[in-house]
Amino acid sequence: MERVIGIDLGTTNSCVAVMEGDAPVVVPNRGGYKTTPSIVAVTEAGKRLVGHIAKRQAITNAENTVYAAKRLIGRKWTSPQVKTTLLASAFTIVEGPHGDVRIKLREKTFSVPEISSMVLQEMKVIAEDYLGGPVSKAVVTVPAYFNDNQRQATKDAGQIAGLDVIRIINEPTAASLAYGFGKGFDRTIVVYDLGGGTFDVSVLEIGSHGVFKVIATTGDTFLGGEDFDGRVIDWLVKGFHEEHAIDLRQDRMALQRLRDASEKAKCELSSVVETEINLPFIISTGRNEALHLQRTLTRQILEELTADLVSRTIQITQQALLDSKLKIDEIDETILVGGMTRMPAVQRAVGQLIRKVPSKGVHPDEVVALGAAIQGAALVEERHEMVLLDVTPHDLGIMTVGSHFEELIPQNTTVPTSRAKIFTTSRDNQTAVKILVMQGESRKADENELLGEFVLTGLKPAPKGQVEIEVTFAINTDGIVSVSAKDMDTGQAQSIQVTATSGLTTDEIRSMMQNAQDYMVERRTDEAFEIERQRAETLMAEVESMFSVVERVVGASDFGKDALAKARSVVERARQAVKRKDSQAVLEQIDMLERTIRMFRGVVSRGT
Amino acid sequence: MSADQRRPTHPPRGRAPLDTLDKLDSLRPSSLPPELGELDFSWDDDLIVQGQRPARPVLSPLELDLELDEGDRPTAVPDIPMDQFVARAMAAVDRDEQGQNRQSSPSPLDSAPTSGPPTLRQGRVPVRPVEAYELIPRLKTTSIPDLLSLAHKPDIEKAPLDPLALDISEMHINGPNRYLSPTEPPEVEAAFDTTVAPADDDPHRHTEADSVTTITLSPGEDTSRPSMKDRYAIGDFSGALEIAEILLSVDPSDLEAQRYATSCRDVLTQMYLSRLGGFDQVISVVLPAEELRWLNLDHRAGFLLSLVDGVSTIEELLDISGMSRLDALRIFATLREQRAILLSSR
Repeated sequence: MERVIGIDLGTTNSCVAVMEGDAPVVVPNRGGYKTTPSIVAVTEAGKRLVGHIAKRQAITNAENTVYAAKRLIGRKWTSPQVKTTLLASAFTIVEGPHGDVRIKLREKTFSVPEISSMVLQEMKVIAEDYLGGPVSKAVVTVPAYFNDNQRQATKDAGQIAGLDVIRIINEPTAASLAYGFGKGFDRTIVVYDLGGGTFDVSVLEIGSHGVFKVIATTGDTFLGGEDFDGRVIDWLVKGFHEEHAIDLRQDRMALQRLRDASEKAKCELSSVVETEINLPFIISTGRNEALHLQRTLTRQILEELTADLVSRTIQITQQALLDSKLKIDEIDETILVGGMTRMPAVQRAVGQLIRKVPSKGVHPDEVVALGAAIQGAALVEERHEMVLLDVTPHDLGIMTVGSHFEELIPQNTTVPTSRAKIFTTSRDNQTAVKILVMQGESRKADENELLGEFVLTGLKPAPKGQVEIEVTFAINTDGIVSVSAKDMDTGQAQSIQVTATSGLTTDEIRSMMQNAQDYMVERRTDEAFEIERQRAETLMAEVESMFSVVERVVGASDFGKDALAKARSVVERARQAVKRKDSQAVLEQIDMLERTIRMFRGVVSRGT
Repeated sequence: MSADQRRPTHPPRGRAPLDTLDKLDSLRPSSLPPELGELDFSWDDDLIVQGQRPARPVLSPLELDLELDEGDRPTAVPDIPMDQFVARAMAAVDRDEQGQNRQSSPSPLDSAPTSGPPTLRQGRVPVRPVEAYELIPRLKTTSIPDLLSLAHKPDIEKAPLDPLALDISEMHINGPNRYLSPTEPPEVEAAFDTTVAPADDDPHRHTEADSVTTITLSPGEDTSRPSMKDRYAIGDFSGALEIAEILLSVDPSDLEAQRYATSCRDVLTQMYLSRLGGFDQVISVVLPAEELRWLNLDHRAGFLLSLVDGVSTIEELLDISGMSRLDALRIFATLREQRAILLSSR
């Protein structure tokens, strides 16, 4: 049976899991880490870096390193979120040809789904290396607040990476699945998700028949673990400045080390009460000396530095509870998601708010991927009791007079579905109406997302309110929304189909898929060549290490001189073959090197 | 080229056809020492059967004024830090130009010199014959003049001193040949050279804080084109590179300076890489933090050390170093000499 992987495509870190028997397991990457930074970079040499290695040069190569692409995916260039990200990012964000967002790295421009596809491709490779075979199907998670365009863009990213994304599910829903909710009885749970770059809190009603209803979701897309790291950096920089009158932020290398050390110290303080930050040779003074940074950070100091950040998350959680119209004692469980929830101060604050100890049985940075893997297996094995019913993530409706939003299909309605409502004209002798199809939860139309529009003409002139127009919304199993409007008197009708778009055309996606495939072929070829190269270099080093001994034994003879000359020639040819990346030549030279070594060993053993 | 066409093909391996083996016998060297007995004479069959000369290096030869000997061969890395070697060579050249006579001293190395006169290059910097050992940087064949090629030669007669010759006796070699293969574990010493502090009167003094391109030139030194060529000729690739970059800062389209700069970078990269064992070597820090502080490092070396995790290879660290590859390699080579880092195969 084909394996389906579950991928948590996070803002700062991603995670991949797969079912092994009846239990999901997270797949570690080559470095042994269970999460991989969602960071993509291009070096000066044009080499693509993804994951941990990209993170380690994120500051020294900031202009060509993309992080938190999730904040941009599926959004239009005019979106306020894009404007905010533009101001906060060192990499270049430009407008795309379809009003979408593109990112410039070195001389090339990439779409946001393409950047995310590089992360997904990396997760795919991790899974394939673990499973020992190709993987083509995946379930990918997204935040509960993602609209159709953002979800479609995430699917496109999967497609570019060579993955058939068989389902997009909400992150809080996936986390709930991992905790075993959804089978047996109804529950109301709060999912508190404090990740590396974003904070999301959702209130879910879970039905025993497999429907997970997100009844409230809110958050802050610029509040996460990186902000906690930033407070530690500020503290270190300030202390160093007071001591040495040097601003470490002015040096990228120093800042990179500060960031890495701050994050490490923050994580350590979840389990110990103090830790030492030791950064020797952090900065040169220009007087032939370098200064060291050494400070002790305690848990208490960290909590003081970040108290306002934790308070902010609690305020947002309270807002979510208000939106859900639920009381604290109506909450059955609270799930902690995201690495930052390991911080004792965060756990204390959530526990105090909900008045219950949060569920902690599953690793908070793995729980979403585990839930996605569970859902993927259920879909493939057609275990209906485990399959989440597909629902509309947001209210669907039209704009009415006064810029109000009239809902026709409420949020969390299972698909396929169809609803109709009767509307009327707002002016006397109105002969045409404009139908604006919108998606969102606000009662004000301009706060929701416009999906499409059309005009119904040929209305019979009449006083306002006397013309009846029936508007029908229908969503099929593929998620395509069809909207029609019909004059009940004349029978005049008009309709449109609304499909989510990521801003990429089919041709563009096809081209990006080909680029991604070519990249993978080249990468596998490089990996194979790397093995040959290492073998050649080991042999070259061994030959060279024997030169002096062989020279001592037979260097005086013509044979010896000839042999040494030829050996040097072999080594040089091998070196050139490696430099040219000529796999065939390298293999030939490996053979020559091995024979040279056998020859030398013979010489040495007879001569000693 | 499509992805499929890029896939490498692996050639069949095999030995030379039998009908050529008879021809090979006639090519066997006749001066093989009798005590060596049976040896595998076919180890270099492919070279003879193919009738080829060693492949030319990828770099096209520079259009240098110097005549190149087509028998040039790469040689081993000097046993002392390259910068010290070059500095001393330059100092020796300067002293000899002032007409001072010096006598060569026996090689402190335990490797026995072999017979045969050293190579004397026509018209340029002649090499003073000495009881010598391999000191010279590993050079690209045919593209770099092998002016300092000194093989083991036991019966070298001490020739009259040439004013441009090098003073080998002043090169202090610290014990036996330190060139270690990547498979050999390094010697662990209780004490270590905590600083690389050159003598105050050394005109080529440099600090770790300087990039490789600013090492060898002192204020007032000649930074002209002939000086660049001269430095290149005697193997001062750092100095030649520095001058080339100065010339390029004045005229970025200077093709000759570009060629010299590229060649110097390649040679220096090879030299440092040969000390480190290859791009695939994994670096680990072996000194405890409190001992690292005693090393006279700058913030760039500190940054490179901070990237070392015991898992990443040299190639991977160069990708994220945030500095030129040459500078990073130089720093790693220095750290290795200071025994601050350990190299091992992945």
